[in-house]
Amino acid sequence: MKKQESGQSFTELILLMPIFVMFFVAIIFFTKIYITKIILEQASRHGMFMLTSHKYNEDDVKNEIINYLTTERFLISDIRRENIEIKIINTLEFKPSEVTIKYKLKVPKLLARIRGFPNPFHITGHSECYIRTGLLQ
Amino acid sequence: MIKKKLRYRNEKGQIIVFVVISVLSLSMLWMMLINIATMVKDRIMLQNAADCAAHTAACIRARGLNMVGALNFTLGGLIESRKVSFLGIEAPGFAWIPELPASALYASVIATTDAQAGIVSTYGGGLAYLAAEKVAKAQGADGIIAEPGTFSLNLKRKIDKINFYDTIDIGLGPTPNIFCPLTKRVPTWYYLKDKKSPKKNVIIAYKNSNSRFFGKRLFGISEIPRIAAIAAARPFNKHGAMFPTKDDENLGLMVMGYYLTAADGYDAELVPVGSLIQH
Repeated sequence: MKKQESGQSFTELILLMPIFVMFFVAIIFFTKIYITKIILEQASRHGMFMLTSHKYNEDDVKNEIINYLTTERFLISDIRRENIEIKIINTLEFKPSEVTIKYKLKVPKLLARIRGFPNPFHITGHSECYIRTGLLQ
Repeated sequence: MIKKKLRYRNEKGQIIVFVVISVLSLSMLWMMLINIATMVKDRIMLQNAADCAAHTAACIRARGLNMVGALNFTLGGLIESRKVSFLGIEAPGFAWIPELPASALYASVIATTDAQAGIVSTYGGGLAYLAAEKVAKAQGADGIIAEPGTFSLNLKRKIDKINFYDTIDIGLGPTPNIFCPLTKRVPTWYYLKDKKSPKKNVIIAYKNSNSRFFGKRLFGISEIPRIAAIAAARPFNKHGAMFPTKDDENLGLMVMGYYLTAADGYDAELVPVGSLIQH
């Protein structure tokens, strides 16, 4: 009787280990999602600031955003100009100008195996604001 | 033997208690992490939303000021409102354009001033609020709060008695017919309420995080306070004010001059909120 129960705790530990590991991987991954989202939001806000206050053109704003994100290279490694969308409203129509940064975050292999888990994980930073572009605008 | 058996039976399943406790505490840790991360993310997004909303409102006000300034320029070309005194008798201001009937001149002044009034009330009120609210909501806020009058363009209308003259020909070319003027008390151009105007607009963007908070009952929290962020912006013109002040003589030509020196137009800029309300 005693011999049969000797490895019980170890077996339970082995059975629970994947759940605990999954928990910790998920915590780290979700933290990464939040931090990336915040960084992208700040970068798009920075781009919008360049549009509103310094009257940069589209190309300059993209360069500025890429420069801004180089400081976060350990988290966002492969941001390109194609990931950044800038819409400058030049007319009197009542629409705000927009800066959007789209980023695909790689999912850890452990979480990627879960059915239906989005892989890659899409994160977007978005900022919009009315800007003055002409004499009467 | 029976005692031993009982002892073993009692120890059975004791690990499950620890498992339940540890899973529960891990779940609580997980919920707390998500809640705090969401709140931090919301607060940062709200600050961006408040900044953009304040800048948007200032931008709309700047557009309004530019349009009102351009119409002021037109009015300056139509009307001379300086009063002329002769032998103690004060004559009203005058308006005359060669070959244009006095009634048509009066109608064009009224149309221009009506257009100005429309711009002042929309761009310096509802339109600025709606644009700011739309921008804030697009960036994650649930709504905005603004003090009444914060979007005002801080302009005041000058009202004057004006003689509108027809044109006659007495052999000296087109001459104003001073004998039968159309005398009306009309609104004329706008002037700045005070020297520092236009003032900044202060906006608070808020988000109700109550519904998105995990495990409220588990943590014993009944209500999560709303998160808020504050920002201020103002229209500014680096070439000076586009409008006369109350103390100016307010000649039509002077009004035109004010516009021309500052015709580059108003733009918007973010400014500190102030000492009373801090970020």
